[in-house]
Amino acid sequence: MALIGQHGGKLLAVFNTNTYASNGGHDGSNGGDMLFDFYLPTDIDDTKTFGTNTADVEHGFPATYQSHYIATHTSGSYYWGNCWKEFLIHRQVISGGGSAGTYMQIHFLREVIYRGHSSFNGGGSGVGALPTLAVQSAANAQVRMKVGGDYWNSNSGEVYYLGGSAETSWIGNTPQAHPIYDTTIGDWQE
Amino acid sequence: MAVISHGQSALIATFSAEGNDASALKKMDFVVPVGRVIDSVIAPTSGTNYTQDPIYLWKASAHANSGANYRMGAIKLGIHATGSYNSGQEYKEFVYFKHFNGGAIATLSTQTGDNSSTFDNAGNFSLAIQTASSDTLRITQNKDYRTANEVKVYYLGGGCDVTFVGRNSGQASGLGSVGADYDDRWYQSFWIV
Repeated sequence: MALIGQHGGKLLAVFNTNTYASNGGHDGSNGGDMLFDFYLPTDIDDTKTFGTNTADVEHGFPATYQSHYIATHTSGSYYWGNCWKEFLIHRQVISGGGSAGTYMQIHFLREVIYRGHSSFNGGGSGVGALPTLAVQSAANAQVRMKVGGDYWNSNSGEVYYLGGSAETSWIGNTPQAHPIYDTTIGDWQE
Repeated sequence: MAVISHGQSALIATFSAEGNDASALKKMDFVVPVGRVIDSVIAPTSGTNYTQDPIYLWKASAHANSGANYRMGAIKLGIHATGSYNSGQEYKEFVYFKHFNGGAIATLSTQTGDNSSTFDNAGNFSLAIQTASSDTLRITQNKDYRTANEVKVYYLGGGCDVTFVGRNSGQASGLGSVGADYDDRWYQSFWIV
């Protein structure tokens, strides 16, 4: 049973490229892309139990604007090393008006890399080239991940959900008081 | 029911300098949960080309500890070090990389706050690998006053025994399983060929 999965990051996706070229797909050593898709957990939070008082600051809180905090860890075992990247993904679901539609943007935040072998992830002294994330379908909250950076069959990695607007637990003001945490939210301040 | 967070970061180690010798740097060891097999990842056992599934060999390699199948890992930590006499505090975020030749530590960010002019002016604190084989890390904290220091280590995400919510995951809560309170698009795909 998972020790820490109920606190902090959850594991959204995993991969290992040893499985890839033998499937007749692109060979990363031949200019091909090693790609797979994963999906953001975007269900509207159903743990909120807001009151009906329209003066409450949380009244009418929308879930149509979301932010998702993602981390990737990739590693190579041939040109070996490790790379950790963090991304912020914005998503908007706009239901009416001239801007109606669903939108998603991916923002790279930061990265740390350890090149055990000087050629890991493109070599050099700078940041690693891979992985990259791209929007595949905003409507489906679908993100396409391109992996590689080591030898074609020697990459593995994980995608973690670090926080944000997914279906998170609401611990704010509710009719059922939390036994430890003071859930009071203040009124609007002038 | 919420499928993502049942609470956020967990506290995995705390240290207090009470009783520490005044002349020595304080060195504190703790073990990070990065070496465990993630047993919530369930590999497919059937289907077209299932042995080429991105999940399949990842799962297989999770049980190996040598060569190309060595399970690498990364864990993100937040460490908060404080002094209450020559008062001040510093918060740092680190990533600890685990690999078959030991490990490495990278610093993501540092924030220092509310210092008195005499707080910890020789360098605050640092994190180093003490014993890679057991994922034991060591914090060295420079001194405030000898009885007035505290360190807290938070787990912020990454490769410990986390819950997998991707395809084939079998959490009893319904995480990752079709039909539960869960958007069943929330799977990772097969390779895009």
